Amino acid sequence: MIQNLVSLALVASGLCVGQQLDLSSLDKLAEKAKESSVITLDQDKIAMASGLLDNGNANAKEIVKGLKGVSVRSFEFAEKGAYSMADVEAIRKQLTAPGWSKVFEVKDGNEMVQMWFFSVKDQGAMALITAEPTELTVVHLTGPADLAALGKLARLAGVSNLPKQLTGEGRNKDKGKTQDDEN
Amino acid sequence: MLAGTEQTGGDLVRLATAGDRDAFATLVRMNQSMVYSLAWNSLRDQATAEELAQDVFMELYKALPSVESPAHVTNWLRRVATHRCIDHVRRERSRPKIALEDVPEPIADESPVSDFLMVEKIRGMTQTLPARARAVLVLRYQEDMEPTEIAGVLGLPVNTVKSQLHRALGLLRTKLQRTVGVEK
Amino acid sequence: MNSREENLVRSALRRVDPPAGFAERVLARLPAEKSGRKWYAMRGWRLALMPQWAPAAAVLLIAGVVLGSWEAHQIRERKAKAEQAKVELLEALQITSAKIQYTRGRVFRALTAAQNKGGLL
Repeated sequence: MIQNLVSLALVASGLCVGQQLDLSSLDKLAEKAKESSVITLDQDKIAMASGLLDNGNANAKEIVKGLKGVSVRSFEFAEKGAYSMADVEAIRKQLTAPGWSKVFEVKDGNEMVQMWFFSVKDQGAMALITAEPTELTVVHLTGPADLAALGKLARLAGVSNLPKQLTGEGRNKDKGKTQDDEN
Repeated sequence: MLAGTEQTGGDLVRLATAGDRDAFATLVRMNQSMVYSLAWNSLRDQATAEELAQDVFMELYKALPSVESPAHVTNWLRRVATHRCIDHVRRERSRPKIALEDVPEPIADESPVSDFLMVEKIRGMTQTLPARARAVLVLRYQEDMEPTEIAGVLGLPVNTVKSQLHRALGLLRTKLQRTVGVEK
Repeated sequence: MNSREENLVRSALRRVDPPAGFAERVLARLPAEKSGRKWYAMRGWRLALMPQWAPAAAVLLIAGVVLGSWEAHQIRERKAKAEQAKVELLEALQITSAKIQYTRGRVFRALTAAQNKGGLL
């Protein structure tokens, strides 16, 4: 009985931190990159930044509402082979934790794209990995479970037809129509 | 700065010319957004934009004896900053950081949410323009200047400015109309 | 160019504030001030005429100025941190939206390729 409770507690605590990803293993790639972005913003920093967003950034302000964390590691290299799939694997392994599910994966030659989503109770997160020959990007957002911000970002980029759980928005059931067409 | 006294604009320039640092600091603060923005919108590199903007104010400090009023200071700064930006862009002989044809097209979407990305794309497209055309565009849309005023800043004939503007907008329009879609 | 397009261009090229502390950094580059003898140039007879409470008042004044400067410094530090966070946030959003768009393109290509092979309905 006690063992079960301990196991349950361990699982529960794991689920609470499961949405978190440690991207620091990628930081070493900045030295090899010709351009890099290493950004980690927690809820406090997002709130600070959001307070400075003016009317010219109204869309950004709307997008970050509810976001609890933003981490980006984006590297552009001069040549191929500057990073290895082992670097990507270090991140991907964390995505096998309970609560994460892969939304889709596309592999084409030496390019790979993966999108993952985390949803447990009221916790949500999104991880996007894009691996190209001379570019590697990992984006990690944490927020509420419906992650409406992701939906806004997706619409921002013209991506429609994301599953409802990702966008937190209704999906038009009519064939061929998207949420965009309705607006 | 003379405490407790009201200063005219002319006093400000006179004090700054006489070596009053507070007066000069006031002139800097009055114009820093304009100068920095000219550099930022032309170069899109924060460190370079700040360095260039600082250099412009250092030039102003040396040129203070030749300026008469805060309005004159602003015009002077605008002219010098613009020319500095043009020189800097021309000195960068390597290929543009983003070639116009490489700028990915946003998916046609008229929702207001797409404006954020559109604005970023326009900033990227501006970086592909030649130095002078870039300066004309920035002066027109950042400073809301008319072609005759832009001609004065750049020392160009008005018709040259108009054709530069027309060409720059044409390049942007081609990309924008493909992405914005048909205006209702 | 229609008005919406012009507004987008105007928005893209609007004025922005320089990073916090810009004016201070400009002033720091100015040549050293020529006049260095200021407060300590008071003549002895002027000092003799100062009231007895003047030194205490001076201490309080200096303490107030130092505290005020410290608070101002703290405020500037906080503002600088917020500005930095804002820059990073906007950059993060830009990268994210660009990569989502890239992802869309890759998914579309993969789906099209699969359809052409007759793999999808």
